[in-house]
Amino acid sequence: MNRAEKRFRIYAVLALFLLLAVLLALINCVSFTKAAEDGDKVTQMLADQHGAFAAVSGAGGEPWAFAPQGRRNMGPMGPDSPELSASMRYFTAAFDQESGALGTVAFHLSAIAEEEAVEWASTLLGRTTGWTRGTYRYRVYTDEELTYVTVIDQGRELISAYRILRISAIGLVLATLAGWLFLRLAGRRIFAPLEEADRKQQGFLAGAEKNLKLPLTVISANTELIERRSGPDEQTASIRRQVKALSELVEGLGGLSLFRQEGVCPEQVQLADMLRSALGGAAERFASKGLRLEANIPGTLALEADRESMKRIVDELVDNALRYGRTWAAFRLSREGDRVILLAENDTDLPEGSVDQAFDRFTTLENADGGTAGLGLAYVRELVLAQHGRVNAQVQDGAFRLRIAL
Amino acid sequence: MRILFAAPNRDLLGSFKAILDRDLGETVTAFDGVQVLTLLGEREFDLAVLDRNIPRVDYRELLARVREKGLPTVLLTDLPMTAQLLTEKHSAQAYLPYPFLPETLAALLRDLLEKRSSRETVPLGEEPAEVAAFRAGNTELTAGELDVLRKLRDGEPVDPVKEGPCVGALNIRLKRRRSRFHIAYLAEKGYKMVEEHE
Repeated sequence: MNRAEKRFRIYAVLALFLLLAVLLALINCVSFTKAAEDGDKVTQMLADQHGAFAAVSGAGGEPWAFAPQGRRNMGPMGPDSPELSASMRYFTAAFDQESGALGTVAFHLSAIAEEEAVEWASTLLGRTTGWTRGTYRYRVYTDEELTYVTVIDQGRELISAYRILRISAIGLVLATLAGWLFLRLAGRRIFAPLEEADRKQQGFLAGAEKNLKLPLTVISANTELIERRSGPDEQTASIRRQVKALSELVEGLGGLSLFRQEGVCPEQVQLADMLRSALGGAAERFASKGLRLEANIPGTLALEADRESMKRIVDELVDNALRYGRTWAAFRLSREGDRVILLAENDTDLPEGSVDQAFDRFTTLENADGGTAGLGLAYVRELVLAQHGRVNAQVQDGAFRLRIAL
Repeated sequence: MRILFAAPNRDLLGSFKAILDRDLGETVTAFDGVQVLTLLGEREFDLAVLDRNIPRVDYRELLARVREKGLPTVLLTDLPMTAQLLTEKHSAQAYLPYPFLPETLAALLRDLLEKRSSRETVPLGEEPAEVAAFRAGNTELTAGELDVLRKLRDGEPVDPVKEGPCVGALNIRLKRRRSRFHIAYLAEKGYKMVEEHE
């Protein structure tokens, strides 16, 4: 449950982060795009006026010192502002096709000298519009004779865009941290009901397992006594078979619950020998079922693992092959890098594709010889995951393939 | 021979008494820990079978009392056989997880009796283990571990599946004794008792 809680916390915070990142990226995109659009509007205005703002003049042709009466614009500066022509920092350079640079048509920049501005504009020839030197917007346009390059300073407009970007980044980090803290504090409450349900399930499994084991032993003992008195018969043989099946179910239940209580104790496990021994012990059962058994096991292969867990995994894989194999079963053990790969296969009638649902408890994908409670592979998955391994199952080319990587 | 059989289930006691009476010898049953202590004080026994979940007295105290009497004991348990179980502080000479067949218990009891009357010793690292005493010096050993030590001495193969927990238990005991020996798996040779540097 701790692992599930941790995973939930990570995914929830990641989702929050991505959601906010997308939202803020959108806002910042709009912000920067608006700055570019405003810049393009201004450069177009300048292009329409042959590279320079027309002087604002009164009826007598003298420039206005103040805005005409009745026109008051105290709002934010923008491409539609009447203050624009007075406040805009820009220059326009003209170029002739034959003689090259002709100089500036308008020059309202204090950051650089006029000559440098012309040289700068010459580097922009051949383009149409865009950003240059970070905060300057330019436009290249032609009339019948000359080519003009207008460059305007959008620094002031971009200040607010960059401010929004900075605040977005800080806000994103803070919001993610806040989300993480909230989930840490509230996580217990969210998961308490799930933990309780899980505890009850484990308690039920442990109790069911404990309460079944002893009666099974009693039934075995009494069957023995009956056979001693009256001789073995069909009924006592049937009792023994059913006791055996129940014992396997109990072992599966017990493994699922007790395993969680005890955890893993890693030690050097000779897996090659373990697998060989299990297959050797089951050879007669494979033969009696008419199953061809293939085993590709190296001479020696050891890994750091919980011995009891590995024994159970191997036993369960062998039992699974015996239960579901039609004509053949194969086992392969190998090393890939720092991982040990155990592959168990058998032929099957199942349709092709992933069959990871085989690892769900009480799930059987096809009829098994002798019946089954559907706990075996659920058990295998728990054991493998507890040792930080991976397990998956699929059907391919008429074969059920179970792959364990440890 | 007289066997003390203690378990918290009357049906189990009745069935196994009938079987063991015939197969091994007189079997005296006890339903709880108090009965066990009473019987131990009143009569002599050759073997004891205790259920780990016996009520009224903790099984560890009962194990200590039967050890004082020098009785080889089988502990019936609902836990799987692991090295950790075998190396518990107050251990029995053999463990048998539920569910089990009557013949399995009978065979185990016969094995304990045989070992008890043996004069054999097997090496546990630097020190010899007395089979009859189920110990090597201060280290207690189970019947399964003694079998593994015998196999290691005689060069017989050790089954990694069935005898794996015993190998694990022996390594735990060797480590506790700070022995320079341990049991390792050598390629193509199987399990061997080796020194630290090997």
